[in-house]
Amino acid sequence: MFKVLALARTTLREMLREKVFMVVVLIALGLLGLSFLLGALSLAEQRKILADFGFLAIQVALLGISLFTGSYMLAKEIEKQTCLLILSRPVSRAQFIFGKILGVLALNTILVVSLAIVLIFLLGLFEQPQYLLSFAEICLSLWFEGAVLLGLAICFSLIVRPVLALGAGFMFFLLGHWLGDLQFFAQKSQEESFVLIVKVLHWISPNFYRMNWKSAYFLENGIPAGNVLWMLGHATGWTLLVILLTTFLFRRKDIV
Amino acid sequence: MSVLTVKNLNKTFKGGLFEKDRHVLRDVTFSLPEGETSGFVGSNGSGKTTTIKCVFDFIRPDSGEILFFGKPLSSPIKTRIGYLPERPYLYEFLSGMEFLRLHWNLCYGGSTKDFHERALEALRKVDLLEAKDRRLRTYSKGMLQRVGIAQAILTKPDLLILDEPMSGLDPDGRAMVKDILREEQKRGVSLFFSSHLLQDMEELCSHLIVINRGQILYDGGLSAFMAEFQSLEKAFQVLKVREERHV
Repeated sequence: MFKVLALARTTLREMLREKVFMVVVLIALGLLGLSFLLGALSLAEQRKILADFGFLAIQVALLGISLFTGSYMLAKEIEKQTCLLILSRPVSRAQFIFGKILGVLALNTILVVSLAIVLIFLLGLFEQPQYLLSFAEICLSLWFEGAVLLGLAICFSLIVRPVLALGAGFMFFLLGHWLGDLQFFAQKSQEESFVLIVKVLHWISPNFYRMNWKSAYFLENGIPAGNVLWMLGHATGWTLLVILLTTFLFRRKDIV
Repeated sequence: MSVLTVKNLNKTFKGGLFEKDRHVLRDVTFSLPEGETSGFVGSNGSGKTTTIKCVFDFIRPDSGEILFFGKPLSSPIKTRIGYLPERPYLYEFLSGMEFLRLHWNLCYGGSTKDFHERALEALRKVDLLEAKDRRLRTYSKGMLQRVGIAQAILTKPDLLILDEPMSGLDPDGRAMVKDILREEQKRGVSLFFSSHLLQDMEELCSHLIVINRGQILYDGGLSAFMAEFQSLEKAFQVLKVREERHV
């Protein structure tokens, strides 16, 4: 475990120095600032706009980090052959993958926590602690979404070029969010093939639609405990599945 | 006793849709005697790096057997081996000392016992003590090669495997690397290094392995080799011609 943590710490330090991290943080802070300005325009909807944009900022930051680092991280290690020295040590390929993923997840955690603190401050939730639980659940769902996308992007990067892995990861992000709408249309449609396709998509894609709570509505009305448990199970299952698949693929990969 | 035994190693890289498969290693067989310096010589593209990558399991061979100290590669075996790849790309955001710390941690977990002493000793050997706290991105190519060697000798390995350790270095850098290797020789380390420069072999090796187009042409003592052919350059040409006629 110590070896995995040593690799995770190194990965985290590397990521913190990457330009993409600074760009993502700036975009997220820009969105938060924008939400504050937009909220100020409308007195009645100020809180709603602030919450919606604030959660969107956190999602964009996590999406950017997870997809970009996931797509390029292992590909860069293999292309630059920096992994050779690491793997020549008593470190298995699985430990290497776990260390890398853990490092990025640590970065995502830092990002969520710091942006969440800013958003709590902007929403004035310190004075309304009754909303803090649903706020934490929304942030957790966004963190898990990032974890699943990170795993998917790394997995794809072992099969195709990083830019295609990035595209595939983004496609799964969209697909995951469209699953609810697609199911709705499938129910309305009489087309059997369309219904079948939607069923298949449900099996091959994580369902981000059902864990999409990033709005003032869920913040104020809370999220049913059953939904939160479903989200935890679904996202953990998908994350573990893609990590296992990634480990399996990486074990078989020739580092030429 | 042999520190590394490679038996009948074969590797074919699958070609693309319109490309032929490339059979890059053909029954590669050799062994490294303990405590000796073995040179692995061959032209560019002859299969030296692929063989070394197969030895470390970076590339999965199609067939063959690889034994270190009589056993297959495992975590305890890996702690007894130091390795430097060709053109080592390192984590440039780390300082020299942090880089060595990472490798120490990967070998010995959280145990910091002896680390400081060993790291300073390794950095002194490669003349990088003064640059130990600088980020690797500020190092010159020669310095990167040397810090790479420092990580390879950090754990005082029994076997050092270096892939083209002198490639791309200026004469001063080459001389320094040779001095480091001689110092390790004195310590009784078994050395295995690849090069396409025959002069390096003559200066440092007692055992020689010659590879061409993925096939081993010679595996034996350097003195016996020199007695037969007088010069390495001539020998290399003769062996290549013999092998091509045979093919």
